[in-house]
Amino acid sequence: MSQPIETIEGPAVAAAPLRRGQWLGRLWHNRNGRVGLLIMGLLALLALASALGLTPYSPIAQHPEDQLVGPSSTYWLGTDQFGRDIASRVCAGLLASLRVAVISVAIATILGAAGGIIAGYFGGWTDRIIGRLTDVMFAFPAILLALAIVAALGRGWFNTAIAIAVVYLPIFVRVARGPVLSVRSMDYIRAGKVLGYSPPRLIARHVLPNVAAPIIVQVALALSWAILTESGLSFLGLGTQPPEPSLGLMVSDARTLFDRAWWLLVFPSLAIVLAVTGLNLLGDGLRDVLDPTRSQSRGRRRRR
Amino acid sequence: MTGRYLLRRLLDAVLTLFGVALVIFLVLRVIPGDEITARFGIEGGALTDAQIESLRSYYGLDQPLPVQFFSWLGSVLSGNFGVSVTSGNAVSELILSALPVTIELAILASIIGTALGVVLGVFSAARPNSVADTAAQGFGLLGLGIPNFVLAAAVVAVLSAQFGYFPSAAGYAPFFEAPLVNLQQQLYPALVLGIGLAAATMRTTRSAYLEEASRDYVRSAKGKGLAPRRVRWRHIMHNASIPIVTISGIQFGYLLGGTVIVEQIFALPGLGRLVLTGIEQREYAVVQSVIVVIAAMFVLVNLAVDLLYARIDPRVNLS
Repeated sequence: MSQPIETIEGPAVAAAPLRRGQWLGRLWHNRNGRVGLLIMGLLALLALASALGLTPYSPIAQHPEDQLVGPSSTYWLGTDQFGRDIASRVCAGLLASLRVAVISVAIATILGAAGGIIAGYFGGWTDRIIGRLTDVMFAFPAILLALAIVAALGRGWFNTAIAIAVVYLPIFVRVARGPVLSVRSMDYIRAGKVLGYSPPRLIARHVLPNVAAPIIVQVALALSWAILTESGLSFLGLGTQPPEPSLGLMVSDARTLFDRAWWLLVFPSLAIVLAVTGLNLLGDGLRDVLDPTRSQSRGRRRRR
Repeated sequence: MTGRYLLRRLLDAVLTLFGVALVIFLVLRVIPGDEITARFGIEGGALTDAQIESLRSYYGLDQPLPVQFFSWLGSVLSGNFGVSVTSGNAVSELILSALPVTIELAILASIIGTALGVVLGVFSAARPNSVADTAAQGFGLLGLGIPNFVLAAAVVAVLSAQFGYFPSAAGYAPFFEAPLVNLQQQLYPALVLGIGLAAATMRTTRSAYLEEASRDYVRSAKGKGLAPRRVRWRHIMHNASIPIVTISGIQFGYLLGGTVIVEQIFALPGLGRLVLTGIEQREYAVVQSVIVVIAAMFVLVNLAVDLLYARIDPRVNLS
């Protein structure tokens, strides 16, 4: 969870405006992007199965006669010390993690991008105040800020989501602000102003499409960080509360039983690693597709 | 490097830290309960109104918020961080004893992460798309994907199951008293943190190296027959080091906060554990002071990294 947040600064030159549908196809043809899409598709299906109650058992149903049973045909991934089915609990934990990640990143993206666009578009004092606020937020190591906020709001998954959103907000402000600065002085924006278009219309129709690319890349990386942080806070007992299943809490509980039941530790850990890696791959793929100037595989193309 | 620039950056840092102190102060005031409930727990309900009143004035809780804030800030600036109510120790003493643990952990993890990351990054970038490159990239991907608490939990689980080693905070040996025992206690948490860092450093190194390797001066150096090793380290890496220094600096800052969970798992009595216990016991004085101390170090490290640029890259104009 202390992994540094990977960020991209908003490029000084705005990328080409996005056309709908086009980039999804290109993402599929990118190796990283495709693997990321496949992993996340699979995990989303598992979470969906849990949401619809399609898992073999209820994630909180106890089977006292089957405590600490290893992986078998009855319990695919084994059971824990209360005889609860690990496979069902991992699916439910994925659902809990993805729920927190999606809610927090949605809040951070909407508010952060709005802040960044406003700062970049209006400039002057607005820009300076928003800039100073983001500087202050950046002065906190991310996880400490999240800890302090959860401590203030109280434990629980929703407060965890809010904490993650607050930590990630300034990053979206920065990512959105950069390209807006370069678009702002373009002729077509000036022409729009002369024609009397209102700022909201200009921003929505002419500025937003130009800043969408870096924001989309950042969303994938933010989701990955959110899953890391949610499971970390749950590990500490501050996030999702028992008996609701949570991957972080499962890892924490499994530590003392490791010598007798390795599956308790291995499978929830694997789910977290898969989710984080899948989102990182998706982020890499999106970066390759949407922002060619920062491509990871650049060396390949330039080799002579 | 002009003195004026340095002054402006320091002023900026001070302003930022003021904001940090304000934010932390406000966030912690939202927490339900205060020093009195933390001190007396359920027995607090038996206190008479007059007793609560006198306690509130004893802790300064009856003052308006701005007064509380500035009196706290004033005492912090004079080195008085207050007293931990539950343990009765001065917060400054708690911080002073925890600080070396965390800094040592962060330094060890940084050394491991940077060394491993740079070597792996150059190793993989010098042979693009080879098996070795793919393996190193796989390591980078996994290192970023494995949360350090999962790695730490796994390491502790294996150590205790196989070797009967249980980390305990009570048995912590400071470096200057028992250096070998100390290094043994710090080694595993540092490795756990270092592997995550190495992954990020490796990825940065690889892309920075590939970027530089395609430039004309590299072709010239190769053309005039310099040994590949010399080209690799003296020419390419010299120019590729700026993004690497950046990420190492950023990471060191994150380490200061990110040690929280690893210290908890390995029972190291550092700043992270101090914050977590503080949150559990609702100790404003401890939590806000520790976080401000960590943020201050974070801001200073970032400043140092910026100043380092000028040493590495003479093109960077600081004024």
